[in-house]
Amino acid sequence: MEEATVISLIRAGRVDAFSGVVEEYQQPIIRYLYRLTGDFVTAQDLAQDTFVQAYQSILKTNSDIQLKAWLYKIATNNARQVFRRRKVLGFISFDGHKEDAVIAVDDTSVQTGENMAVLAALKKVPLEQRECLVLHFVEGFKYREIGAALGISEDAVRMRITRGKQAFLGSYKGGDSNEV
Amino acid sequence: MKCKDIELLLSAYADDELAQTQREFVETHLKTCIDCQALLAEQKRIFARLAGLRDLPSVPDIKAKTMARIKGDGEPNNPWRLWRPALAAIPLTLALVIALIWNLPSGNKPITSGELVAAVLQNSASLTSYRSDGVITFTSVGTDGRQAITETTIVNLVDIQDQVSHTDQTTKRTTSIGGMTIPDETSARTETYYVNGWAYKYIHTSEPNSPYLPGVWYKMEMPPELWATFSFSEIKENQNLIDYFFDDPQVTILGTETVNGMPCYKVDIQPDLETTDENVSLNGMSITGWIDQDSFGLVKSEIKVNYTLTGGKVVDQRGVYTFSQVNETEIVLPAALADAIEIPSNYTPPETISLEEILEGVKRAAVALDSLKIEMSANTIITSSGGNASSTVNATLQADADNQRYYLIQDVTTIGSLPLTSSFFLLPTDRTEFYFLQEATYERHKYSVGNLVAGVWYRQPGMNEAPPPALASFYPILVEMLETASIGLGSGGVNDVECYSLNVTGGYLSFIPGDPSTLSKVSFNVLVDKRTFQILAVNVRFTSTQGGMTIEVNQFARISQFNAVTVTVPPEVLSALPPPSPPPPTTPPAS
Repeated sequence: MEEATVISLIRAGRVDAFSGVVEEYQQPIIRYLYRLTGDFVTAQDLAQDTFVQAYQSILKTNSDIQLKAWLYKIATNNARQVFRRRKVLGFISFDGHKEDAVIAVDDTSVQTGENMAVLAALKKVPLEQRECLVLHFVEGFKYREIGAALGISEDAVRMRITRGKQAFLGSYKGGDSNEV
Repeated sequence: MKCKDIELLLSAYADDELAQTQREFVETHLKTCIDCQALLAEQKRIFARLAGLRDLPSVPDIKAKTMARIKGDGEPNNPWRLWRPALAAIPLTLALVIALIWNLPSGNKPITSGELVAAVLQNSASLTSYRSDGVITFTSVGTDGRQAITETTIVNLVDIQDQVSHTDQTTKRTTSIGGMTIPDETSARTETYYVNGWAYKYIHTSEPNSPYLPGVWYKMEMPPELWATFSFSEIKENQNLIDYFFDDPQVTILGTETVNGMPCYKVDIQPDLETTDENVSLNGMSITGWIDQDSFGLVKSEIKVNYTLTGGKVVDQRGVYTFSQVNETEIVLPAALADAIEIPSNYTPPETISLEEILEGVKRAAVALDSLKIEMSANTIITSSGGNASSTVNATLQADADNQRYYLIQDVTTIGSLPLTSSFFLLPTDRTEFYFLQEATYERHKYSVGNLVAGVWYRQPGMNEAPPPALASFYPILVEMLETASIGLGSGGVNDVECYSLNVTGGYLSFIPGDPSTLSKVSFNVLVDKRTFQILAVNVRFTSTQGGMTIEVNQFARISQFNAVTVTVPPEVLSALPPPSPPPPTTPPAS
């Protein structure tokens, strides 16, 4: 079914029309959120939130919506909120087991050795650049599509990807020349 | 065309994201540039590996849950789940205990658990402030048998009325494997104030791998929903939290016990365990409270939690708290909070920042700096026709400018030989300690030097006026130099802290000894914390050629502590004597 038709049906009160959207996008959205947060359970929760928020947004507006970009935009914002919370909690940490909890939910058991090295390097890339790298290399987005999903220009995407690549390579190959 | 010029284009070219004209431009360059060809091949090879992250085994189907939520039949995601680590921590649990069992009905008569819970809901508004002293022990055992014990001593002042709290905590961690205890350096003391939606943090002793430096007040704005967990009066109004932890708790009055001389009711609370985080398998949780039979105030509580983390690590958490200064606690905010450095909670380094903005930040961060601890290392290699030598110096300087006291300890290792006239460029192998005070300088050597005997403290004339500029003014001079220097901007890091890397290309000469005309291969690099704009490290390299010698120097200094550096001078140092006068030259006997 065409996206525009799905959106029309949803606006007409056909809630079930949205289940096809969830069906189609749940795997890539969970994967995207997992690659950003490193936490499989959190990724699933955020994916649920993403779909619920997307559904509510469809009802609230009559504008045209590019569903795919819209979903990734909401998912990105949700992931950023998680990092914000983690940052605040890191700041106000009270116990010695905070890191344990965060590490414990990283589902490294399913990763190969090579993937773990890639993941470890990816984690060190600043979030905004990481978003672009994951969207391009993992989700197969073109720069233009990334710009639409993140609400930034194509030039900004190009800059973030170039810098993200440098940061990734620095970590993957074992260090930044300025690293002390 | 230089390779640097096509760096941006090359990345986009590798990603097949260039327009035709630009693509041809890059291809023309690639035909003649082996370096860029290699760079492109490497990029393609490495970034193809990112595509391997597409594979995820068995992504669970969330359609049913999601659609149930959309239709209003499903449970919303628990907003607190992501904050489980904080929920497992002290203040919230403590608040819940207080909210639940504070202010029981008056009178020394037997009460039922139903009366108890009803009394809590009815009377909890009378609590305005309190102090708690707690000791919390975490014991975790991993699947590899490694056991870690973390003990936190915490003093908590809470002013509910003014929405202010103060936490002073000291944490010590020990690790053991197979019965062998491994010394751990993760002991740390931290103070935190919570005021009007902001958290202010101060680290007294160093926290390994923490991006926050000791001796500096930082502040961070808290998201409103998280702040609500710290503003306790809201907790009382917000039953979500209580429902989350204590949905229909089982409350049992166990009997009476005396605590701190006060006869108390002993109350056991078994919270509903079904509502906990799915990342954590909760094995058991219990809360015990001791209530003063006269005032019905909470005197003591004990919280025990045992859970298994994903991955198999089992954590046992036990916290014991005593309460005092009920409705009499006052919190005085330190004036220094006004100068706290803000850490934006949604911070990401700006994509572009000017040098002026960085220097402004550096100057701002230098305000109220009163002491420093600096770790330094230097390597010097001298080559000459008369011989070669090298020396390594590792030193730590504690500069307590407020008290005009400085302590320097340096280890020098020198090898090789040089003509006598060149030797003054190198320090002899030794471990030397110095205290620089106003009235005197004290020094002690590991090896005897001249008339100074090894291991003995000697008193030399003091500083009299200002302390040695190189010690007292290290940071201000550095800041001043950055203001006048020519600087290039890059990125770097100190440990895990992201930094701006300032490559100083001019105006640095006051930092390098010797005749400037003899210098070559000069590199002066200053690393500035991207979040706080504090200078974290300086790296200086240069080569000096003079008098037939080539001197290569590589110096590195890392500022490991800002403020809160106190130099204490041991009594035996202060009682040191002046060095003995050198013996008079002996007159050779007349021949």
